[in-house]
Amino acid sequence: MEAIIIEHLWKTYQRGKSRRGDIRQSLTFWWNNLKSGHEYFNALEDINLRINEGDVVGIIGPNGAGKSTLLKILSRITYPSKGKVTINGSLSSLLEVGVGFHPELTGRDNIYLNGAIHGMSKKEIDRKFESIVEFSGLELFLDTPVKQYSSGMYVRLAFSISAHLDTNILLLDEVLGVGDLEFKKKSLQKIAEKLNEGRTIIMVSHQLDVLQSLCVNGLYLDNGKLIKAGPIDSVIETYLTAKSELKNIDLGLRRDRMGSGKAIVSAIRFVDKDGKSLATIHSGQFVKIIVELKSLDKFIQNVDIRLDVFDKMGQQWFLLSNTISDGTFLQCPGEAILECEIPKFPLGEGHYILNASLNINNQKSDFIQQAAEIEVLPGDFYSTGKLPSASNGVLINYHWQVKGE
Amino acid sequence: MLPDIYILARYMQKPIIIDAASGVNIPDRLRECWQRWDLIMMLSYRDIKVRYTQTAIGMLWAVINPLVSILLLFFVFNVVVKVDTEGIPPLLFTVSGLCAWNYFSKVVSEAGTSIVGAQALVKKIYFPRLVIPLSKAISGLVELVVVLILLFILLIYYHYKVDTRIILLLPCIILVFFVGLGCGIWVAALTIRFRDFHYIVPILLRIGMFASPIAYGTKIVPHGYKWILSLNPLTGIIDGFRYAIFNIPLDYEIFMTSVGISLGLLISGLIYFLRMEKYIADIV
Repeated sequence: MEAIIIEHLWKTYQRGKSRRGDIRQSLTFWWNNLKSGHEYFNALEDINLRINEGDVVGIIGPNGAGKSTLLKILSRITYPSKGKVTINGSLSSLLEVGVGFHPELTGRDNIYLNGAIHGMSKKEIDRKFESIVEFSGLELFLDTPVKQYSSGMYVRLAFSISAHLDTNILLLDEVLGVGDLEFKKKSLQKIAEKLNEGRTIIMVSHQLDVLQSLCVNGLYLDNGKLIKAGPIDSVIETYLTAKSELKNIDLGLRRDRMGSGKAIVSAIRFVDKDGKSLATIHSGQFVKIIVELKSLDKFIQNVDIRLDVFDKMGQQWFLLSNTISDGTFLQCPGEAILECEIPKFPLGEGHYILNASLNINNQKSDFIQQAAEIEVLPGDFYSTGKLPSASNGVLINYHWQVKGE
Repeated sequence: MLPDIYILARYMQKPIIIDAASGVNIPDRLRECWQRWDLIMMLSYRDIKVRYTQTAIGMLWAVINPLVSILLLFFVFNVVVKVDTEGIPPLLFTVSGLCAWNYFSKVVSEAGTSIVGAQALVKKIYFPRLVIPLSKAISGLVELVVVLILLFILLIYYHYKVDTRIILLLPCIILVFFVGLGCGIWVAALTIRFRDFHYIVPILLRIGMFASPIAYGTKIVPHGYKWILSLNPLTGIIDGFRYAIFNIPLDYEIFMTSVGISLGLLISGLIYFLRMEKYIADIV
């Protein structure tokens, strides 16, 4: 039997303005609409889908593809513009960890409150209380207000409650990205247990390896459209192929970006110490990353650039942010060229991608996933003639020696 | 382990259908809200606990707040102006009037901002949105109880005898609950779309405090103005409180108008709110 049937599902938002605001705004908005007509964009376009009971489905796609919108519609937070969804059974969703926690209340009170928000009755929580507490490992902090919890404790409590929801359909949005490793394992185990009980699980994650290990089937969304549905391995493959095709488009012309656009990242290049362009990088090599900005303004103020480096499974390796290393650039020309020097490139052999984000005056101005790719070849990082192996983490400078006689 | 009846029950429930083409089924929405009674109680409990345990003198604030209103109104109407209080000790008269008003204004201002205040929650998890203002109307009952206790202390102090008619306080309390909730959800739904109501509501409440017969009785209002007064649903309800406590004869015309307007506000508020409900996460 199908757990979820989605028929011709559309979600349309009005671009730019939301419908709230003061009365004057809403009147002028109405007037402008009369004159020029609405400007819409589709967060989801004609999605048709059947998900079987007991299926475990991972949704992948770039930011803004409609993954979260789909989960929000399935969990009834937001309503579709067109189309129909039928859900057989009960459904609970965990779109963000710790939603509904009140910082002033104790752990105990928050278990009851959060359980109730997720649809448990008081009796049901009474029954599961001990098990929830045991799973979280927070017995000693039950009567402490959660504002005094560490973020790790917070996550444990929140996930423990969610793990005890007895709904037969569970929606998870990027929630496994948090928490310490040990607890993450435990949570994955708990999810696996739920799978054995024949529950239907739909999850969104950027961590492709997690999806690959947990899911049976996958959905690939892009631009609100369902590009591919099928076994998770083949969906991931399609996704990765599509992603690698993106690099052929000129960065400044790409449209899959977010932010105000006050200034954008128009190019990212890698050069060596002589200024020669690099197609590949060797571990330990001197690399200069050149980021070109484009703006209509003559000058831009308070510029923060940040590059995040991931492998293709979505694991982050390091970040390069002028905010923490050198401080915000107070003023740049609109067409600035920003340079970042890495004296010894610290990654082993492999294929890496780079997300770029640009903030102007603390406002997100531009954000592009996979703005550049880096092909790293083995290199002599330690100048010993020995090449480090590919997947043992980042390479750092260190020195071993024998002390004593 | 025994088979979990909760799980079984949920497997057997009828399918959830989300259809953009279908309208709002109001009885269905209300039933769903009723099924989440435990959530309503948890939210009310949270409000009360957070409101009164966070501050240094805690519960005392629940007393100080109405006390200030009482003293202010008492001073203006009973000391300076000396209005006719129909044979009742003026302080007692004012407190009896404030029972309903204090609760009403608390609920309207709290419930009115409740959805906007809970937007982090509303955007991340589903539950019937009506439980949010509803829980405010319930947690606000603390304010009502506080003033009622003040009232009973004063009744004892003035050796004022009440009779069995006091039982009629109950329907009056239900009535003020209805009108408080009705106005609260109207404001809540309107505030989502128009933040202007953040400013409009306090002004209206300030007007209402003097436009409602809290420290004066409806009797002294000139006959020609009575119909204006009766448009304010609090007028009839406050009269109802005084009928139950002091046996001051009820003006049925005013009272029934108030009952009608209260129910009208509640029903129209529910309809408006439930129609807005599905857009809340998108526009809040």
